[in-house]
This record gives sequence, structure tokens and C-alpha cells, in this order.
Amino acid sequence: MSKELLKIENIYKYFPVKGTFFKKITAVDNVSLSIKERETLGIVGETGCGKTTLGKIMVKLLEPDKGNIFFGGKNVRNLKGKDLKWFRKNVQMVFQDPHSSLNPKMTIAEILQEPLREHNIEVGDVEEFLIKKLEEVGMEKGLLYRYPHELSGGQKQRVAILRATIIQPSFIVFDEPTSSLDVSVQAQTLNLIKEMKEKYKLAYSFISHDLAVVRYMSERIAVMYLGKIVEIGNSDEIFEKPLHPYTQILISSIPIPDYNLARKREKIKIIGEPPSLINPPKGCRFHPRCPFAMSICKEKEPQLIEIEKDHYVACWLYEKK
Amino acid sequence: MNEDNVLEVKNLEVRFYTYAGEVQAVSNVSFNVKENEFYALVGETGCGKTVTTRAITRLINPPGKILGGEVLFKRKDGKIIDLLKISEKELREIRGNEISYVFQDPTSALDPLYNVKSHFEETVLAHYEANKKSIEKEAINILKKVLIPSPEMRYKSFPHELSGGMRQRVVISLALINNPKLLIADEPTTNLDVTVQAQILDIFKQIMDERKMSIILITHNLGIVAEYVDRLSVMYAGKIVETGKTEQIFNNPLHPYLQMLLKSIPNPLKKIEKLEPIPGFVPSLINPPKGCRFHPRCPFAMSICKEKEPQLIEIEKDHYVACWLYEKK
Repeated sequence: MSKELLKIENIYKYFPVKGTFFKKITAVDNVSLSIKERETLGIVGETGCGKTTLGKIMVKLLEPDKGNIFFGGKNVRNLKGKDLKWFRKNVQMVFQDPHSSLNPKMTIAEILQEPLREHNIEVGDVEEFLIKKLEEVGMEKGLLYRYPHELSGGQKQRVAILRATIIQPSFIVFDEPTSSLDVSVQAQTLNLIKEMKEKYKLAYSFISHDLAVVRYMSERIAVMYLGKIVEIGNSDEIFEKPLHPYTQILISSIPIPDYNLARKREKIKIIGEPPSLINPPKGCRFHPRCPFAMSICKEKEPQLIEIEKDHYVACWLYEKK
Repeated sequence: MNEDNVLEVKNLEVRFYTYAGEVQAVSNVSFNVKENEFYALVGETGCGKTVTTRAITRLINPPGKILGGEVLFKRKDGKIIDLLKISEKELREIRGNEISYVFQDPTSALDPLYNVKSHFEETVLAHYEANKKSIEKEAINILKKVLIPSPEMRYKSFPHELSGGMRQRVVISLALINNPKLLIADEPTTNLDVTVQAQILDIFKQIMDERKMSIILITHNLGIVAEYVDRLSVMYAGKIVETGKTEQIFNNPLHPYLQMLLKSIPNPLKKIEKLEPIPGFVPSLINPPKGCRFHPRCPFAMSICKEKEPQLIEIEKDHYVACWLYEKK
């Protein structure tokens, strides 16, 4: 068993609701999880389920209101000075939109040098080093002195990935890194992200709403619904034996690019849209849309319980079995 | 025009005259849509699928120009007309009435200053004489059909009071109120969550069968196509490279681009070790490659591919491909 790298415990994050004094939404509600060294944990869920907020909390771009985060055994919440810098060097993030995550006034060379300078990393001849790095991600060296607007979306995302990996971190959070790319470019980018992981022995958290992509990238998957993790487990198991009704519906709603499979399978229909986080339903938050809802689901909130080894689900259907 | 068809597009040519040069957005595109058929145009960003469908009712603004081609359409009364030749006045009778559109972004398709009610009244009164009571009755009927909860209340709502999925349902209802023969849906579910996407596509299919209308769906998502569509054309760099029934396209893809595209998308129900991306990039349409536009990225490219453009040829019934590999076999 490899070592635990990141651990978050009972994280809560609230945001105030605009135009009110006291109302707040709970974007992340009592979430605990851990990521091992060299592991990819996929986080899936629909818009507004809190997956991006959780990602930002993992890299300390947002502070949780309650709960603790441990990275390499240290509590991250009160890191200062040198320790904070150590954390920043080891934890990086790649954002969804490469157009806005690269500074338009800097050349690619400047963008890539910034993290090196910030963390005082000696690389010898900088230009030679950067050219080598660019070639590693399949880009021509001529692009080194170009500006971001001269690059295509796929190339920009490569630069963003390179910027995150250039200081050799141990953990990277990817927030929908391919959702703005076309399918053929998406495949190139996903493969690159996978190669980087092998090469530099990284651990990832891969956030996406696209279940197909998450399955391709991750060893374990956490499914989120309205700020809570409803199911977490090994990625093949989640897809082959989904336990939570929401996971089952989510998987049955993804269109399958395979004619025979697509027309044969039976689909579970779902009613309604995700409710607002301002007044989440009592009990299990999924119960108004759940085809299997029982009376207890409306009253009490289910807790994550282990059904099989490392496969957890929060659903009353599985309690006391 | 073939009896079964509601729309026939022949040799459509659209260009954009920009400062950077002449963009050959749609080149020599031909396809037809049968009555009561779920048809799709599939391709990546910039392949010309949106421009093609906008050109059907001449919704191309300068610097764009429709250079040539024919768009034959069978009207509700059975009369066949060429949409590129008729007067603007006659075209207005058709837009939003016999051919209606659902665009990708429902937020910009609805006017923020008007409530749902005014949108419906405007859409109906532009084409028919009707009293507001009967419009309301019909609209609420349709809103119910697209699964809007408490439609009587929503009928008086403003766009900002509705969620994204709800807005798209309103836009779909607006497109349906005049009972069109052809509905053109341009990436109608791209901004929506997967569970809502599945609901909306189910509604499309159901309404299509109930009203015996035809749908052209524009999408880049091959999963949606496999799941819902009857027949489709695959576009690459402003051209159709393959047309066929959904079953033929997925079980027997012919064009190298389509074969590679199918291998580059992850299938969530299968464990995949490695995706095979398509090498290279989509070419610029200002100076598209000579010959077959896919040849710089094609592993099977021959010398003829660089010289001459392949035409669509029928390989099996209803299955067409534009590729030199299949010529003279």
C-alpha cells in the first residue's frame, strides 16, 4: 500500500447569498477523503455540486470554514512562511479555461520561468531547459517566445500543464482541463496528463462533469451531489456496480458512443433538476429526485458506509444489510 | 425532389470575407432530411455545421455570403420551394413557423425584458391570428410536455427566474408552438448537465414522433448521436466526409477521419487503456489543404489525395463516403 498524501477531514465551506445578510449556501458539506501517493482520484458531479470548490480547498486557494486538511502529514490550515512555500511547490492546479489562466502579456517562456524563479529552482541554461520541456509535451521550440493568444486552445492547455509540472510537485488538481477542447484534441491532452503522471510519479485529483473522461483518468472516483460525497470507490467498480441511485442515473444518462450498446441498454429516468443549495432538501438531498425514496430518506441524512472494501455509499437502501 | 424528403440541400457554398482572407466555411455540401427523421450533423468546432444549418434559412450575415447551391423545402401545404431563391417576405413566413431553431445558449435566445408569455405571443402572432387565451392554453400544453413544473406559474416568469435547463425547455417550447415541419437544434444540450440533457433529448424524440416532424441536430457529441439519431452526416473542415444511418456510421465507419474520431473518444462503459488521438490539427479554412482536406492528418494518404478532391460515393445503400480509398472498388 502506498502512503497517504492528502487527507481532508470533515470540510465545510459556506458562501453568503448575494443580497441577503444571513443566508448562506453550503457549497461543500462535511466532506472527508484521502488521496494516496501516485493515485488519481476523480471527482464527478453536476454543475453546482461543489466539486470546483473542493478542488480549490485542496490547493489552499480557498480556506474551508470548518475541518482540516493534511498534506504529507502536516496540517495545511495553519501553514506559514517556509512551510507554506513548501506546500505551494508541491501542490499545483490546472484550470478549466486556459485562455484566462495564462497571462496575456507574458510570453510562453516568461510564463514557464515564473514558477522556477518563485521557488528558486536551478536549471542551468534556462532556454535550453524550457525547449526540452516544450518538446516533452509535443510543442515546437519556436513557440517559446510567442504570446498565449497566438496559440490554439490545446496548445495553451499544454502550457498550463507544463507550468504546473515544471517545478516537480507531488500533487496536481485538474479542474475540467479538457472541457473547452475538441474531442480529438481532448484525447491528446488526456494522454499527456497521464504520461506526466507516470514520468514524475504524481498524484492527481481530476475534477470533471464528463464521466467518460473521469473513468479514463482515475483509479478511484468520488461522486458528489449538492456539496456531499454520495459514493466513493474504485473507478471500475463505480461504473460496473454503481450503488447510489444518483450514480446509477448519472451513468445511465451519459450518451455512449457505441451504437449497439447505446440502443440496447435500459435507462433509468430521472425527474426534475438539481434543487437549489440555498434550501437543500431535508434528509437525503437526493430524495426528491430518487425513484427509490423511502420515508426515512426524507427525515434523516444517510452517512457514508463501507459496502465493499474501499467502496463507500451514503444511501439508506444499503443500511443494515 | 424525392417524395420522402422534407429538405434537400444541394452543393451549398458559404464563404466569409474577413480581413485575414476568404474563409471557405461550407464547401459543396449536399444532404437531405426525410420526413419524420432524426438527422444529425456531426463535427468538431469550426467544421461548418452551424453555418450550414443557418444558411438553410439564409441566416448568414455579412461578411458571410451564400455563394451557391439549392435548398429545397417541402412546405406545410406540400409546395416545394428553393429557400435560397424566394423573397425575404416568403422566407419570414417560414422561419419560426415551418422551420424553427433552438440555439445552444438559451440565455441569449430569450429577451430578458419580456416574460415567457410575451415570447409565446410574439412567436404565434407573427404568423397567425389568434387570441391570447388560446395561445396561453396551447403554450401551457407544450410547457407541460417538456416537463416544466407548474407551467401556469412559469408562463408569467421572466428568463432570469428560470434555471438553464428550464430556459432551454422554454426555447424548445417556443420552437414547437407553431408546429414546424423541421426543427433545427444547434447543440441544444451543450450547456446542460447530463441528467437534464437526457431528459431534453427524450422529449425531442417523443415530440418528433407525435407530430411527425423532422429534426436536424447539430452536435459534436458522438454519444448523443449513437443514442438518439436515425441518420447523420459527419463534417470535416467545411465538407461532408461521410453520410449514413447511425448503425452504419458506428458499426462500419469508412472515412479515416471518422474511424480515428471514434477511437479518440472515451467510452464510459468500457475500461480503456489508452486513447488514440488524431495527430495534427484541424486546418485553417482560409487556405484549406488541396485535394482531400484531411490528407495532412491521414495515415492512409496517397498521392491522389493531395491532388484531387474526393466526391461522396455510395458504398452500400444509404452509406456515402468521400475518400479515395473507396473509389473504383
